[in-house]
Amino acid sequence: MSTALGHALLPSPSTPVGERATLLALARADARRFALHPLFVIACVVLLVSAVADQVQDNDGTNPLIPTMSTAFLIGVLGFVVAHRLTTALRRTRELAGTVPVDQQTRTLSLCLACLVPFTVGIAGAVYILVTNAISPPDGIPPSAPVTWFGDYPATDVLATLFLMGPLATLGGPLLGVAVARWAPFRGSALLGVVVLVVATAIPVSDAHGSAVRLASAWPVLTDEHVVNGRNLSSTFVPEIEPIWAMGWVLCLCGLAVVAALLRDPGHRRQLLVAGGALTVAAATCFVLALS
Amino acid sequence: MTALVTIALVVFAAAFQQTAGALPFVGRVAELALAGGAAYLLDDAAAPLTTVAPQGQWRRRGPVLAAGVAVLAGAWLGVLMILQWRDARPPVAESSGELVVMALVAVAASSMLFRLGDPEPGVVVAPLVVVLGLGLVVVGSVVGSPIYLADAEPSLARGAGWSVAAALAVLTILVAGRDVAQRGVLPSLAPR
Repeated sequence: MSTALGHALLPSPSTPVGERATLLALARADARRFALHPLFVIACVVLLVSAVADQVQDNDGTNPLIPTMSTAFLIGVLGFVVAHRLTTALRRTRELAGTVPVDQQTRTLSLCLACLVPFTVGIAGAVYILVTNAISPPDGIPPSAPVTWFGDYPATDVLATLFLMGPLATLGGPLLGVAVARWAPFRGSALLGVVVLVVATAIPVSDAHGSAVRLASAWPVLTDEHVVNGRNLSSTFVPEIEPIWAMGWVLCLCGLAVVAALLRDPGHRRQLLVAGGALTVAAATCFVLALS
Repeated sequence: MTALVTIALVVFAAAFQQTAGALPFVGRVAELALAGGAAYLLDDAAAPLTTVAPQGQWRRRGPVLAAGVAVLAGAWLGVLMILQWRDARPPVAESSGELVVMALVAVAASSMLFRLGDPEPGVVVAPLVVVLGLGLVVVGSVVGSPIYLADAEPSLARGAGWSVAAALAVLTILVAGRDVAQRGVLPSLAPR
């Protein structure tokens, strides 16, 4: 790590380096560390295998958004662990990291920018879902039964849900990992973070099946499957939730995770509090609009 | 800490859930969290010093392991009692068996990483055990055949699979947990 940071950060003595250039250089180094982290590589490989297996298997294809679940689980949850590891690595190598002339807040921001790596994988997953379903359009059983895809539902609803349940989950998990690691850098925080994240996500989904309570989750599942005799016949959107505003709600939560992570250090406190307040208001607005 | 938070989480879920629909899943996550917690039992921040101490490795680890196992067992009992209160208790023998096997897997992975030079492998292994366990839930639902013992009627194949996993974990613990000091240092110090 120190070598990578050293190469990325040490300019020739005559070159003046701005804060922005330093941040970008640091973010590139962190993004590389994220992309090459064994856990992230494993998650990507498993995702790829599951995508291939999904094509090989003869699925009914009645819920075209179901692959977002594996993207969110593999990249979102494992991304949480990777981001947590990378953030706490700065603590573990304090002697080395302390020699680089960059403050802790810039480091945290660069780690947040590195979370664009899993987000890119999430985007690729969403594109994969779009392409495969364009080649082989999903159909209900019988074909008149609805499915959560273009044709049966407005394009904005489909795209917003796809973006919310896939790419945004792969961004939100890692960002939360950075925030948790900055505020609770003790040894068990990664384990407890994963457990709380999974339970807090699962409870609203499973207990209030079909109701607006789902939106209370940071990863709201906006689709329902209709299963008869173990066979999935059709899928519908949860009627009480407006997907486009739900997407705004989750986007604001991602922003709040960044603000929370940055607030751990004293710099730029006022701007961060203003940003945090604005995001909280925006999140509340999106939440209300999504339910109205 | 893990045990306390796990129990608190289950209590919270049990107390505030209108229906017990999500409780079996919460119980499963609690089981995995406790199994993951076992990964911390081999952590030793001062490993470079303690591994060359005259006391054997497992003798040093003994009290920590014993205390850890007692805490995890107590916490699991607490979880089962809370789930029983909401009529969502899983089959005790099967779910406890799963917990033991997952905990053995956690300790085996920790043991291997410790052997490879990571003095605190629990930080990596513990969350991975939870992710692995949840991955098995997902795989089971995708394949259409439950992997966990408590999720279906007992079957020979499922039981054999979990037994093999336990045996492999124990074997890994034994091989990776061999005392480095006794193997490397003592022969060279032995009189010729």
